[in-house]
Amino acid sequence: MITGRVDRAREATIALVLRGITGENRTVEVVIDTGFTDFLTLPKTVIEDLRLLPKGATRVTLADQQSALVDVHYCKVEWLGSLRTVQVLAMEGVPLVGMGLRRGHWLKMHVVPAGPVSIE
Amino acid sequence: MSAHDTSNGNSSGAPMSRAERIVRRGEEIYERKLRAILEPAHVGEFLVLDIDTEEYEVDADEVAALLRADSKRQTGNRYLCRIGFRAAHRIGGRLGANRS
Repeated sequence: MITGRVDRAREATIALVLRGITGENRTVEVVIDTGFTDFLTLPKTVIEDLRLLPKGATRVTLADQQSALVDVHYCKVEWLGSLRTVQVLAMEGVPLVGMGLRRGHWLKMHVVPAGPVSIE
Repeated sequence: MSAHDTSNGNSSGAPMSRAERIVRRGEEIYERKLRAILEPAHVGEFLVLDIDTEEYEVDADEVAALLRADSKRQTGNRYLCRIGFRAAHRIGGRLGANRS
């Protein structure tokens, strides 16, 4: 089980352990976004720290229906006892974890400040 | 690292970002060569297209497609899209079906 908390801004956050190309781990706090259909977004600084190689680029639709063209990388993520390869979209701001990574799992949360979040 | 799409071109005259260059080239190849082959049978699946060789992989699992493509040729010049949709993913809002 992965656990986290709902913060005062009503964002559900969990900590993910990411592994970059050199094998070093880095723990990143991410916001669970049910409106995000892919796996993970990371800002440039984290991508560079993990030395994630660019794999390509893609178009994403934003909430205002505008498009953004973003670089795509790979990353390994410790996820419920295993190491998964996931797609990472290079986007500034707080890292997001999307429905792609949570596919097949249960997400539970109590949406109050400091409320528990669990993924299993 | 990311660029907002300024409709049909880069109206500011600034050099294209890497992402913009790859997506523009990928969309051109898709329209010219792949739409007729891949739609409608593969609508909803993911296309991973090498914009230099025009070789591609299709899979319902985009990571599987990308790993398969990587096993054949290592490159950072791949265009990723969801076949039959305007964008591969959404961050808020709704995916728009059918390219225009």
